[in-house]
Amino acid sequence: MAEKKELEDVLKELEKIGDIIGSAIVRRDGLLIASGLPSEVNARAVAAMAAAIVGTSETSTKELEIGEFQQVVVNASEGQYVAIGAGEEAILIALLRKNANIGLILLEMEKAAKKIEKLV
Amino acid sequence: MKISTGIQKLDEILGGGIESNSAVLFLTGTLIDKSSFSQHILSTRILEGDKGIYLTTSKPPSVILKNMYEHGWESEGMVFIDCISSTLKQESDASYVLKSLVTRPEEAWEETLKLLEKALKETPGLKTVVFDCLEVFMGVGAKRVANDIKKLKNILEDTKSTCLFLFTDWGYSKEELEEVCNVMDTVIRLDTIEKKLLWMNYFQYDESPKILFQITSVGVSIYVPKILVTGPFGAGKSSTIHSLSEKSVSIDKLGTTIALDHGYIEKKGLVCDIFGTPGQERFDWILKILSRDVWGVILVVDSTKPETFERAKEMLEKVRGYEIPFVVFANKQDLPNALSLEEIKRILGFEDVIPTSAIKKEGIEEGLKILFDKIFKLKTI
Repeated sequence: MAEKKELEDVLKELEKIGDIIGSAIVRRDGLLIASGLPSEVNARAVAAMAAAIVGTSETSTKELEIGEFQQVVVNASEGQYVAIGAGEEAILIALLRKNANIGLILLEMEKAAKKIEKLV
Repeated sequence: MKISTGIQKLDEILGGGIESNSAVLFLTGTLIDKSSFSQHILSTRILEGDKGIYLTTSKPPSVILKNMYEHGWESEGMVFIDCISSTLKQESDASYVLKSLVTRPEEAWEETLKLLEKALKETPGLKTVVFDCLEVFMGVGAKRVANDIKKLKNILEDTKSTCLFLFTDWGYSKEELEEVCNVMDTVIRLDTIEKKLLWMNYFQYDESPKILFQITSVGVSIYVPKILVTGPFGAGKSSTIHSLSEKSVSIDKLGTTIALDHGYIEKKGLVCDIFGTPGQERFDWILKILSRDVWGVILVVDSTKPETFERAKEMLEKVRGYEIPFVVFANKQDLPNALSLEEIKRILGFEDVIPTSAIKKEGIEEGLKILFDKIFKLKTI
């Protein structure tokens, strides 16, 4: 059994990257597993929505027959938001600053997702 | 006589509460905040007229009082036996202060027992004691601890005191644990389990089901991870969630939910995540995503539209509601053309139908309580 702390450590490590404001691990059915999102964010609601966003995107990917789902990136005027799968059971999300280097961050998120997958 | 712990579910599995004038052991895992758990009980006891005595070996009294204040727990007139300040080389204004250092268990244990006995005899009336925490003294050996507690039990009886011993299992041997458990009148287990990535605290007495809990800003609350609200288009699912949860979020367009609703209940000793589904058939694929690992289902129907009841039953099937506890909220009962409860029961063929009006916030909380009762009866972990 993985310790919750190990998962939280993965998030802390990820959040060392300057352009990441916060991150969280969410169960595929929408429950929050571990959060490093800013405290003013309603993390439970964000978790529920992340599951819907990723679930919807994966289903669309299949429906459209465009190969393997990779990630969802939400671009907004003041920031960005990325969600990727982390194994069968979990989703990793990150809240990014505007103009963040998304290529580098995706690479780091992939690494973190692999660690999470191994832990759970 | 049984006395209430203030945690309804705990009282239930204990057959009405803890036995007064007895020794109760809370045997806990390492991730449990046992101090807060026991402070909730102590606060209940103080409110019911007991004198509270708090023996602390790890945190100074000021820290304990602050924690109790932050949770809104009663600490009026509490007597402290401070067994830590001397070790920390701090001043203490507690009524009883241990002079020995806790790092020297032999001396500390002997003096602690004397202080406790003194406090029990000098404090008048019915008393509830929190002994936080016992494992600090395991250095003197489990046998000795058990023997001394056996003697202490007579004093508890004589002084009308109930003592809650907190004990974290840091990996003691089976024999040591048995030694300590056997001398107690009641042993309540507090621990953490992981189920599909959720870490959950539970309490358990004897062979009772494990009851999940969380310690929130309002105290020890029973935890239900996930309730799903579903039902046909326009039945009032979103309104039901909004009336249950002050902090809820909906993803809707043109007044209809398109992805999900989310709410979080934290009241009346319960915490729970609630998920709401859309009602229209074109969104049915999302039912599958949201209905995984659900603990209970609320099926909302519009009492004025019996033509939608077939669709309601179909949705219940799609979220596999028949396999888990569910209730029906017959919503919009405030409208003049609403069908009677009996009629709705007959058409649907379900028994647990609760008349509600989400707009007027009527029947919602009663219905939720019925669902929770069904969950606790059927669902064990």
